[in-house]
Amino acid sequence: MNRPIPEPALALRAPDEVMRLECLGASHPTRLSFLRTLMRRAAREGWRFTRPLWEIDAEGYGRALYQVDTGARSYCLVAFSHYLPEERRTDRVIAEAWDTSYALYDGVPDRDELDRLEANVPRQEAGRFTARELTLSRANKSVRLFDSLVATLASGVAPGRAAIDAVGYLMRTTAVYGNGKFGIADRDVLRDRPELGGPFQAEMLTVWLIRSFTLDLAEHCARALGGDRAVPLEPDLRRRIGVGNSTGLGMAPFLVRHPTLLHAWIHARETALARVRALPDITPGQHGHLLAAIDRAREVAGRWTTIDAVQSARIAGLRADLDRLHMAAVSLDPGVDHPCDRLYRFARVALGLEAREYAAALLIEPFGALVDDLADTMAVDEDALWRMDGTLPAHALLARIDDAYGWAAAIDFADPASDARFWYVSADKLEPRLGERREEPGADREQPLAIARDVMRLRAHLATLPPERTVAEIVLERPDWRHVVQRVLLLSRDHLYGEVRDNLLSAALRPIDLLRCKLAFFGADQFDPRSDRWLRISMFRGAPFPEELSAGEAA
Amino acid sequence: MDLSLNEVETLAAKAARGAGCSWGEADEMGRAARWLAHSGLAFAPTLIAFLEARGTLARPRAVDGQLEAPGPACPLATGCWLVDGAGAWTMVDLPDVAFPLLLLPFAARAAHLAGRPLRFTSREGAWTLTALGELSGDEPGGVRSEGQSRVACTGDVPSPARPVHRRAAMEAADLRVLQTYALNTCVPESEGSRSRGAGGGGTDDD
Repeated sequence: MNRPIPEPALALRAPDEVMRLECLGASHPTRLSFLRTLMRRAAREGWRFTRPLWEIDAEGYGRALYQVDTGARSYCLVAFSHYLPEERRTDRVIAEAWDTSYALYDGVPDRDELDRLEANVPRQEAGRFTARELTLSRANKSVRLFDSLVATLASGVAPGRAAIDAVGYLMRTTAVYGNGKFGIADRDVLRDRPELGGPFQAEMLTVWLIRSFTLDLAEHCARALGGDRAVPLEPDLRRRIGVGNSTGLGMAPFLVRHPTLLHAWIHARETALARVRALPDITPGQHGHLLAAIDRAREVAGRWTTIDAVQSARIAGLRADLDRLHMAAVSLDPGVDHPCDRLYRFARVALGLEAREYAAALLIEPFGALVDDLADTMAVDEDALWRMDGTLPAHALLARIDDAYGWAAAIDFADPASDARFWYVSADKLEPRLGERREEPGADREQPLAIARDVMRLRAHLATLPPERTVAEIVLERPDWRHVVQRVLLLSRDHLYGEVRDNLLSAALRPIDLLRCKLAFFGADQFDPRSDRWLRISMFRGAPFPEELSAGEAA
Repeated sequence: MDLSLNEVETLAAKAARGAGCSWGEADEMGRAARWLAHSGLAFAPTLIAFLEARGTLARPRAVDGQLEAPGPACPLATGCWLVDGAGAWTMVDLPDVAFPLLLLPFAARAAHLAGRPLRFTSREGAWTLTALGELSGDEPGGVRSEGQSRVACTGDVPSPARPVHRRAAMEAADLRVLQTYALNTCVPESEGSRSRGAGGGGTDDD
């Protein structure tokens, strides 16, 4: 008699596992990442892309428009290219001038609007913007690749693949601003527009169109330099070029300040994985798709380079692990016994964290029909969740802390290393920074990101109060607890993936773990930490260009 | 100056924090300012007056479920109390609230959370909030109260909500005052923090 095969539980991986910084810092892009969502929608809805304006001179300076018609509306990337003196070249957010600058415009700008934008967009933070601008961005040329590629193309020679793969992008953005910054449109404006209503869709569209501009600009410069001798880039080499990005601490507090959004993203990803693991069998076609995804991952890992010693070691381990994952996937019988679950369990037991999380991302790749609907759950109306039940008694709040913040109770805050750092905002640049509490001034102006410490302090305070004292009474008397109480109430029952379950003040904190988590949700790869607090990445590498889109390619 | 509503919210929250409000109440002030701007009300002059007078206002206390204050009460603390208990009351008598305009966004949120229209009566007049938390078209009017305020559910059908505003106009002088308060939340930079806090000098060699 056949023994029944146990159904794998549809349980999601636990927050205590996936919300650790170590795990968040091993995140990889998935098919639910925001740039993938954008490309799928553009393909599905047949968005049309054109370049109605190209006013770029022989040296590569001037302005251009990239227009997208989504059916419902039109949007334009307005691109400016400027001369940048070498001494002003820095790719940190603190720069004040750039090679190129961009705005995503709501509609199609006329000449007057273009002139207004030209007076402001190149100045970025120092400019002033209107509700017609949906995003604001800037990018610098890759010193290693841009000029050499232009020279090669100009001389009529096809560039080598190795030179392109070594960098992977012609330009690197240093910020893509949205949501009302510097006067641009509030995110509310996009909420009722399905084409850009999902998380960071306007930002992804901006970067996707910037990619086109960087390639068009390089080919334009090559023609201007080489005349008839110049050749364009081969389509398959073109594809290998994405957009670079440098990201620093500015992005880190976002995940802590928007916990319900973080929950929605992680919950969607984990639900997708659980659905796939619960499949009793998969088709040979899906099996082949999975093998192809693993092979692509091996190629990506093969060209992934970094100067960071920790990440270098991880990548070396990842390459070996992906070979083992490939072997295990090849020998997987797709027809029996929950093959995806078996492969995930293999990854969990036999592979390192980088490869385990990569496997989790790759496993959902063949199953768009099963998981893509989850992308619609990744936008959150944070306002609607902004409430707190003031009638809850202190003892119930205490119980909620004990249920959901056990990880925080395990941190020994008597150890100076446990609160060695503090988060602050710099007065000069209005950017988040991380300071050393015992070496630098400013801890009295600490930002409220000390979640573990503050929840534990709240717990101690609650223990001194009458158990029936209500939450409303507690925060009326002690308003300094309001944000902590509100957070616990929001995240201790319904949004368990909303809290990063680690100590953000620790001397051992690597802030890039937070950055990588967010960037992976954007769809970034090639994570290249430049220190423990900023990193470079690439986006859209290997992805189709807007004009090449077909449903098959983008799905 | 034409501001986005997100700029209004961020600026008001930082200014409130910079003036000494707790993080949680400062966030509430940010949302309140956004609601006022969205409703087409000039929030900045009242917010500035409130931040300047903040130290002289009474923080209310809850006694047997009722708020009490020995003098004009802080509208922010009172507003927070109001929304924290929203849905659990049909009428609340409040102490005399200073700068009652700043309580209006909280009454609006309470109306939204309760799903019922509310009428807010204060020493500066009375307003009606719709069940969706919008300000009805009525001009402030009605009986002005002395010495106390009241928020009560109303069976009256409010007149239609005022048109909403997507942007906020602000006087440059008001903007400067609020930015000065906001700067109190930031840490002045030193050479050391500049290179260390951001994570390196960052030459562009790539």
